[in-house]
Amino acid sequence: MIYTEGLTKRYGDILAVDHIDLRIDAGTVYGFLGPNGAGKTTTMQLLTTLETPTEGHATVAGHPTTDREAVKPHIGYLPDTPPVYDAFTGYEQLEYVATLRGLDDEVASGRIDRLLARVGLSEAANRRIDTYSQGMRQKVGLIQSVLHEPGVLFLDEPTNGLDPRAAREVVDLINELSETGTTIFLSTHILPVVEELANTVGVLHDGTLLTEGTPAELVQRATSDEDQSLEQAFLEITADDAHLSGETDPSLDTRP
Amino acid sequence: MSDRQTSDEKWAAGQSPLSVSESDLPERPTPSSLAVVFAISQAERRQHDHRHTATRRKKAIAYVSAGVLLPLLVGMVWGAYRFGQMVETGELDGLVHLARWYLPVLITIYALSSMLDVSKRLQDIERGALLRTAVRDRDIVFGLVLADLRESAWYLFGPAVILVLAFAAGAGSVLLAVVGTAAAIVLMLAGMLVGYAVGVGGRIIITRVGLSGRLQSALGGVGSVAAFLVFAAVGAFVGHTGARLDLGETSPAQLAPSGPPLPIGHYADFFFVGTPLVDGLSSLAIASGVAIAATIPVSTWATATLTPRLWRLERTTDSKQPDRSIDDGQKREGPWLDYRWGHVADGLVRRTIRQPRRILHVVYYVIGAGYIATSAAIIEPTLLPTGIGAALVVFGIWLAGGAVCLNPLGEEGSMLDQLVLADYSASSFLQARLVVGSAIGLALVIPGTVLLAVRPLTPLEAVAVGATLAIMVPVSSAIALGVGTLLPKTEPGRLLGKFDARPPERLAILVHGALSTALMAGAVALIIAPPSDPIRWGGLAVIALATAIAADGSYRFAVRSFSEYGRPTQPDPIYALELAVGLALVGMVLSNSFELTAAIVVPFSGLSAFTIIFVAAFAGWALAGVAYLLASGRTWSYIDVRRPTASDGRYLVLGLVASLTVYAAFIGIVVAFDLPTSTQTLTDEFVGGGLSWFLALAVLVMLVNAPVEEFLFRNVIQKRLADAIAERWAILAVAVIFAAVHIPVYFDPNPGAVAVTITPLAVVALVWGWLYARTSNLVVPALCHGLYNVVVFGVVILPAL
Repeated sequence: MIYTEGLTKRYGDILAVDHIDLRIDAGTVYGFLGPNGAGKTTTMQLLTTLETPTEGHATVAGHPTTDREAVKPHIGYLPDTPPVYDAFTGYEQLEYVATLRGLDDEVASGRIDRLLARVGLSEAANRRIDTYSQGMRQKVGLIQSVLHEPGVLFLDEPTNGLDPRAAREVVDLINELSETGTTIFLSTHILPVVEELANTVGVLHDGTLLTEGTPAELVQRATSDEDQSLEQAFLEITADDAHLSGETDPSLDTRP
Repeated sequence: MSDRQTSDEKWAAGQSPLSVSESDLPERPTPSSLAVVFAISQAERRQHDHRHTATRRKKAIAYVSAGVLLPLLVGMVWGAYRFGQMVETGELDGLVHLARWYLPVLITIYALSSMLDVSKRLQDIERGALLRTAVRDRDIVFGLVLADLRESAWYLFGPAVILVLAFAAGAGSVLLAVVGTAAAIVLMLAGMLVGYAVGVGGRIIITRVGLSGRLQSALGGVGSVAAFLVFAAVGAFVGHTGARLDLGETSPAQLAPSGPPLPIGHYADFFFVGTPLVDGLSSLAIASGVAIAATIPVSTWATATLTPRLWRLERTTDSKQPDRSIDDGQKREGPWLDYRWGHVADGLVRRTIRQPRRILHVVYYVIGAGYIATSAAIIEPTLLPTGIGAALVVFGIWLAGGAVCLNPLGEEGSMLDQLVLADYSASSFLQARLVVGSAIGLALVIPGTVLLAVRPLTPLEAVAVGATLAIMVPVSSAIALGVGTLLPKTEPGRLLGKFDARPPERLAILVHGALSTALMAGAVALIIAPPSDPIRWGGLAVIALATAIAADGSYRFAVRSFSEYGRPTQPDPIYALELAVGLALVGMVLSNSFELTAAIVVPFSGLSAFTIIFVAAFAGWALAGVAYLLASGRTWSYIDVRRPTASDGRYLVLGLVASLTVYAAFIGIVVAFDLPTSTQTLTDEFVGGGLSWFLALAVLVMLVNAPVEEFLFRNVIQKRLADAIAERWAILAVAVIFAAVHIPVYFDPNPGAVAVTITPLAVVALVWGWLYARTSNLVVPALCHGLYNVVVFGVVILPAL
């Protein structure tokens, strides 16, 4: 569902995304891991057609990302700050997005009610969004990105600033979505989320895709014997000297 | 490798790898463009109006400003009507010719202003991540343009249509009303959309050319300056023309340039068809109209096509380059660092130097001040030094407030919480801004004053004017602190398309600019007026009082808001007193403004005319009270109107007896000591009117005069004042203020007469204030006041019948 080849984005002298090759099949939950500033958000913006690549190609849902109008109906996007209108109530915001997506009124209200109940926002839905906490806004953002049941879902730091309960609710919803066959591209720097949700993990550092694999595979690559955890694997993979010297451990490279 | 070659070939052939056939993906509903466009414009308008407190305060300031400007606006409509009448009687032959030449200029000005404004709507999409991944780009553009159209409908299209209709009414032509209205709407729409298209296209070109960020901003600046020059030059020329156009002496035909008018200007015929000036529409006029109308779909298409490109181009600038303007490691020194405000000011200046875009809104002031200088140069070249001097002075006074004082809460943005919790008091932060603003202002005002003194002024006048202007600089800063705190802009916006800034509200810029200019101009005019002018000293006293109250009150308001951010405010007696006097002054200005408007509008005379003008005057007083309730976030429940109880009735009787006793005593003293008195300007009209006039007056007094005055002075001013000072002092202060605002009504060249006549008014006001304090029911003092007035008028008028 998501395919990129040599995807590159340059801002002046700065190389934000460096020749990334991805191949993400339908129904996969792909966890895009990386430290802050690695280029995760830029990659996601390239895939959601909000940015045009300097070099390389990308295909999402069978259409090249240069054909934006063809890609848009098939994707849902939740950026790290949920794009919601403070002036609207939660319900009005979702109705508005339903209109934007061309959903039938009845279908829309059914889905909105169901999803609001699913994340526990039914009561708050009649209050204005400017009274919402960060977690509530995030939930509204998530619901509005899946309202039209897209084939591909892009989530940028979906558990950003959420308390444990809210984070659990969001993670559960993402799990459910993946079970319906939605392809989910999830970028985060929170490792437990990745461990729980992702089928495949890609590690990004300074714009380069260092390695890919299942979470278990990546843990096995961790060289230290006392600490066989995804955290340790991540730290070792993204250690600056390993990256800068260009010498990455070949055993870490699990790309086909 | 072979895989790559194959996929490269596929890409080259226009296919993409992993193409999924359409049937594999579920059906996607196609939203109707119209529904989406409308939904977007609704959402954007609602979000734009959203900030609740600021909206109420904005409304309050807008109502008061509109009320003050009402005579001017009504005058313009009346002027349009008179123009129409003159056209009908054949007095304005050259008007069409003039219009044909100058209409294209007006369209260009409007298009230019839209071009500069395009950033406000089309680039600054806050919910871009949602809209741009969910909706067709074209629909987003249409939705945003529609949102903008709806917003400008009431302040641009609406007034234009009203002027056209007034002109058509004067000319008595229904055809003109219909055609002219349509023409005005088409013209403005075309101008706006062409401006958008050119603005977007221009920005793409500038960005695409690949210039550095600085060069781009310079080009953007050049564009704005060019636009300003056109505005200024045309505005000056139109002003010059208007000044010479004394319809008795110079006809428009003589002023119109010779030679054939511009073809596109024949569109002006649409605004005169149906009058004696234009018999029918020529083919040139129709072609011109069609051409203009045709630009609408073309520029709409261009905007819809180009804007998405602009959205993507915007991000590929060198915004991620390191900021080379930071000079690290340099220690700051200076005597001001010994003071808290000095520290804050130092940081403020450093931040502003690093990021000049923080104060980029000063470009609005440049346009205004430049207009003044250019007008002087065009009208009379020998006036150039005076023109430049005046421009510098006005620019300095505006900038003293407008540079760093007009958005004290908003500019700090996310730092505001930290500042409020800091060890430094709120006044340190605000004093810093006051000092920096004043420094900027004085740097401009001083050379400006020197240039102004080139014109023959006596040395004393020059010193007085100079001193006044120097005082006005910190006054302007202080007023800006207050106005800017009343309307803080806390959301980031974009200026001239590129710069994330927290610009102040435009309403704040306008109100501060107008208020500081009015005070300054009034003071200077009165100083250089001939000493024999009777209102000179009184006028100067009023301006001095108004200036002191505006400046100190604004500063206190800003300090209160800052230090009590998030907490209930503590009473401040001085601020409360300033607020009380200020509200009374605002009421007086509004009342006079409404009265003047009514006098212009009402074409007849007699009792009905008097009634309208009377009611208008008191509507002005009432508006002051209502505006305060809006601005302070209070609701209608603040107004104490209840059914009077028996106790209220007793107080009413007591109060009435007391009031009338005071009046009787006053008459007795005047007669006994043969004191001079002045008469009410009102009573002169009524003496010859007869019983019906008196009865009408009695009704107006009971239903309008007394309730409105009691509402403002007791329910609003006294109640608010009593929150800060002891109630008895509040009653006294309001009584004094109440008597003072009646001075113009009892005006007399003999100040002694005025003083004598005003005194009983102050005493009975004490009674009414006391009544309100005891009963907390507006109805009681209102009835007492009304009955008292009826008796007093009766005593004066009835014996003369």
